[in-house]
Amino acid sequence: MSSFPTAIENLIVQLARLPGVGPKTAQRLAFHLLSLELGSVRELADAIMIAKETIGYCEQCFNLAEGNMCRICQDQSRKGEILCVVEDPRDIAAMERTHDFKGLYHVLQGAISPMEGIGPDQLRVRELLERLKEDGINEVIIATNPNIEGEATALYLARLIKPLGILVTRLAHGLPIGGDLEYADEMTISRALEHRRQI
Amino acid sequence: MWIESAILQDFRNYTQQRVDFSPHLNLILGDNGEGKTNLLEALFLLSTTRSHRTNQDKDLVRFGEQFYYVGCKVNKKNHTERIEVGYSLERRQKIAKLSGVPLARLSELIGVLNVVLFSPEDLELVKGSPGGRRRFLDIFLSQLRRGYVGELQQYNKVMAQRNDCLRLIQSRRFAEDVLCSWDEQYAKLAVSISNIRRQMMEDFAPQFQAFAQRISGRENLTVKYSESLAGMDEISLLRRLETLRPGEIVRGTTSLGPHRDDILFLIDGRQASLYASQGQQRTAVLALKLAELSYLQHATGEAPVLLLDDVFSELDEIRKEALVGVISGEVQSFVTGTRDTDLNLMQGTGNPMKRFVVEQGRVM
Ligand SMILES: Nc1ncnc2c1ncn2[C@@H]1O[C@H](COP(=O)(O)OP(=O)(O)OP(=O)(O)O)[C@@H](O)[C@H]1O
Ligand SMILES: [Mg+2]
Ligand SMILES: [Zn+2]
Repeated sequence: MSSFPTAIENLIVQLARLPGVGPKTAQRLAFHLLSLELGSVRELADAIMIAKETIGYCEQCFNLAEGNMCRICQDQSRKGEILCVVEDPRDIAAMERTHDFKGLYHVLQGAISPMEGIGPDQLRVRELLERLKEDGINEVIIATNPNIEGEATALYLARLIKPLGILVTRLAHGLPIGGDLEYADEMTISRALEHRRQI
Repeated sequence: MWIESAILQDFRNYTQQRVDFSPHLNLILGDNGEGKTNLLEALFLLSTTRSHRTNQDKDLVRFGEQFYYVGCKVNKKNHTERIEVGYSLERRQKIAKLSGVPLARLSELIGVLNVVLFSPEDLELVKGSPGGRRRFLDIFLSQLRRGYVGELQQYNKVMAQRNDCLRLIQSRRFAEDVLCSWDEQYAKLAVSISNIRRQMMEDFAPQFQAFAQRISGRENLTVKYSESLAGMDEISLLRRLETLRPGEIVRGTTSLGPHRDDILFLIDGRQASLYASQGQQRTAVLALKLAELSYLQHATGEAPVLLLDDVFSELDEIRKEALVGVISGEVQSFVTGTRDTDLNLMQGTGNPMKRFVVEQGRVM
């Protein structure tokens, strides 16, 4: 086993649990942290704790929010009749960078994937349908990722939403197939938004 | 097209090897277990990204080592291309480069170097399981059409998700309506793959028959695409899936689609898998490979490279001559044999050839 003191060993184990961090990187990070001033380490630790304690999900759209509602839902200038459905809060950030979309969002928090045991009940689908029943929404743009899980989710939602008399569109192709919305560049997303198609 | 040279590093029993080949015939001679098939395996991998003998790249890394690397230079009609494939055991990661540029997907490599491999295992093709024949079809089509592999991978992923969905419905963890979202994608891909296979097989069957005729001189040997979807379009497939649904939910598997396809060999209309003699099976496989080669050559405008592993000892004089007929042409070929294999026929082709002797993972 390792010859490090237990506290360092623990720190390395914790860091190695982070996504994209292997054992070697974890060790480098741990030693870097130890070499910092106490104040800097405390700032980092506080930032983590405060983020964790103050950030939750928006009670309307399930975006990340400080407080009950996210900034977008609070913004009175956004159009409430058009709703963009995404898988993940990071996809909102990608859409917002284009400045082309002025409506509101709904975050599913995932996509349908039987292999991972994720079905509609594990996603914010019920909440979406409730929103659609109440508010004056007349178009839903489904911006799930252009991979098979995102496509399955889009088809599933379209079947549920169409009978409500709401226009359902899907981002047009042009998005890299098999890719993630989060990584697409602004131009691609803008174009996909402009050429969205009915499903 | 032809392979100018190849490099193997810590691949199978090769430590570090560079070989320069002849554009015509390359004879690879050596005793059993010295590394002849390993060399052909490397060339096959540079064409298809995978070995023909194992699905596991870890088997290909030389015992005790961490990486393998194989590369070759391919001379095509108007240009040359460098292909490289490397695999790291520790990271379980395989990467490919095309003329120095890393590829986002391994499958982008397929179709750059086209090969037709004929090895002793292929003699099982006629009587063996349908899986082997589908594999033949898929490797053939992937070299023929860019995008086929991607579509097939997509199909397999959708089917895997669909099967899990069926099982979750069976255990009542999912409602049945979730299946529809998979069925639509499934039907689109299934029909598309079936159409591609059907079209190709319609063109291919007469060419196969002609080669079989030429080799055997008499039997009426034909090949036929046995299609699971039997010509259904998306709408009729979706309808059929609906009637099959209760049974599929019970079994938790997809019962209809290209994963159930087969190709049938027929002798005078009778199924060769049941009746063919050893000799007839050999004729069928040889005709299949020669027709594949000629088809690829015409469809892509360039002759693929022919890899013949140990097959000469398996063929009689007539079949050998049919093969030599092809080798004498403009096709680059690699032929393995032990030192005492009768390769006299080869010498008569008149084409310049190169002779290599393989000993314990070294080419001399
Ligand atoms: N990962 C590996 N590392 C080192 N050696 C390996 C590895 N895999 C296979 N070998 C060795 O390679 C040899 C087999 O080579 P190959 O299959 O090319 O033989 P061959 O020359 O084709 O023989 P034959 O004439 O019997 O077909 C065996 O000795 C085997 O132990
Ligand atoms: Mg061999
Ligand atoms: Zn919100």
